[in-house]
Amino acid sequence: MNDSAPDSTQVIVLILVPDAECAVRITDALSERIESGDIHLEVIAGPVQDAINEARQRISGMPLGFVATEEFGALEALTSGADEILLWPPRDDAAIQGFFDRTKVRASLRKGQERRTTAIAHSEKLAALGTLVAGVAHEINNPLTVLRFGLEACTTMFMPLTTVAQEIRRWAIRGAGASAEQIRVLSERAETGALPHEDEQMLKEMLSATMSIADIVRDLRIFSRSDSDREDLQLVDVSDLIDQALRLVGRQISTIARIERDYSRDLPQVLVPQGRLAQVLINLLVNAAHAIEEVQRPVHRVRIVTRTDDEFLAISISDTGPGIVPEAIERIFDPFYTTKRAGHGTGLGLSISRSIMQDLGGDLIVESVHGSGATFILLLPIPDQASIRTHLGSTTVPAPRSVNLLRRTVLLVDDDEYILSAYARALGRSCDVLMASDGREAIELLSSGSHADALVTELSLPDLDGKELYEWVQTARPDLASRTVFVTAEATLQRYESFMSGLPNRVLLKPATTNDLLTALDEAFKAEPSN
Amino acid sequence: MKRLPRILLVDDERGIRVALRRVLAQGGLEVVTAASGEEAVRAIGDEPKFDVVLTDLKMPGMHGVEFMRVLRSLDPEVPIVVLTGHRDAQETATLQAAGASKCLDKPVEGERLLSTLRGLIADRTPEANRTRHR
Repeated sequence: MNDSAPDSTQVIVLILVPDAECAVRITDALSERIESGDIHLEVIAGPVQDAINEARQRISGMPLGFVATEEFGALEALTSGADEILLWPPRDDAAIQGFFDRTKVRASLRKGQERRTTAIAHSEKLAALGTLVAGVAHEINNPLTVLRFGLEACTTMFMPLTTVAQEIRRWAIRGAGASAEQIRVLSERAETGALPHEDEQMLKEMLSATMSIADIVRDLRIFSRSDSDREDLQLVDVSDLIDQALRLVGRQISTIARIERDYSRDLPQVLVPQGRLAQVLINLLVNAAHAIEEVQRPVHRVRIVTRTDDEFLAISISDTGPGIVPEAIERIFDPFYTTKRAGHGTGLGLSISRSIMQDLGGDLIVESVHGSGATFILLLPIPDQASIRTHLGSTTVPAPRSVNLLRRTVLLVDDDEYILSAYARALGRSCDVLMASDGREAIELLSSGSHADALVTELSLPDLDGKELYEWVQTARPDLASRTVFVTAEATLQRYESFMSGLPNRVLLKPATTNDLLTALDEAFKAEPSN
Repeated sequence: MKRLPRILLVDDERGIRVALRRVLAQGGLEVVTAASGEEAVRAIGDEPKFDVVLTDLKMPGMHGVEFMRVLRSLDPEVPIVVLTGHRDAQETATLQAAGASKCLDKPVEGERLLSTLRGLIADRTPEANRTRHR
């Protein structure tokens, strides 16, 4: 075995053998090549894939051959990235020579492929930049037009006013009075052709145009902290980032469609390179703007929704454009696939966006009903506390919302499905949630063995109401009774006044906020030491 | 007194309406503004004929191209100038097919816009005279 470091003219040969004796046999057989410096030989013992990865890191780009005594190891080497394999013992010397030749040729092909991949990645980056620049250019054009016309109008007005001002100053210096005729001529010259409030309004519009441009420039800073660096992770508030992206390119949408924002409250922050995520958002928003231009509808909508579960945060962007034909759904993430008119896109946007999302540990998926619109869903992994600490240091770790609620299960009872899912969303980040649509269903859940540590119930329910449910709980699950929180509308509360007056339990009035719910539950757990 | 040429200016951006109106007025044109295609269609019904219609493309409600279609049905003759933020060759062709006489990109110099408008107005006048004298 050659202990010296490999040099770039060599072929690297890793050999995986069952025993030392076999290693010696192979080394002997190849000794001529080793001595001439043609090859660099290393005997490995551990897992094939690790050995190859490690070698690739040390000697990236060099031809890497692999010798093994059994087929399985050889095949594993090939799938792990060896350029060529040789099964030992070889038939003859020609087989060995062929092995070295093929290793070199394959390595050079591989290098060419790698160069092309880098070139494509580079062109993708440029194309993505193009989308962004076109989007932002569009936003800047309007205020710029206001300023251009406004300044031209001001210039035309300003020149005669200057000469009038000079004339008046000359009179003042001479100390002479002016005749009515002179004043009439001057006043005619000072005529701007507009009413005073018109000019004032124009100046205000021009000022506000400069503000718009300043806002765009400020929002562009989301890109300044990072580009492709995987390392440059930041804790990002997704709602803020969406708003920023909307300020950058939203006008393209808002001039022709209604923008609807439905952001889930209490969204966790995500750990991503902010600029990369912003790039994806902008790309999808610009896509939505292009899509809604394709069809005429009385009202166009672009709806942005954020939701979260334990593992992922989802951002969906829906448009009321033409949608995607089923045949194309499979292909829209392919590089260079486009349905847009010439000049509207390179076909790289979605493919880049998806690969960015996958790099971030998430994904980009699409749903569409052809004829009524498309929805793009971005998925981002929610970082755990450990990775937040690793990247940002322990000082910035946000405290968990409520220690008392961690790993608890809360049973939610309400006959309004919308309210149930709203509560579930609100509480889902802090605890596990069970749902029932009336008292009877809740009792069935609890008596069939479903576990619940707390109960949140509406008082007024069809069939079996909150009062009856509570009475059942008092006998069947007394531990739950003190951990029951009632929620109801103010009007309903009067009906239950006598029932409630005897109880220590909290009653929340609808609409209850997430904080109300969490605080009430927190108190319920604190009041009674946990088992 | 000779009447001033009348322009109908359609743009959803108030700033552009206000500033462009001043530029056009200073250039000796009478300007009526509308904030949408719908408003412009009403203006065409209410007012005496316009010499040129100047319109934006991307507007809420009626899109510029749709507005041009309606406008053509109301007045097949009036020259239409489209003032747009961004367009490619295909879009220009579509606009011309829809009846646009000229397309200009924002931000355009006021003088260039004025000379385009004056040119279109002048083109119409002698033709109108010829028909009258025939």
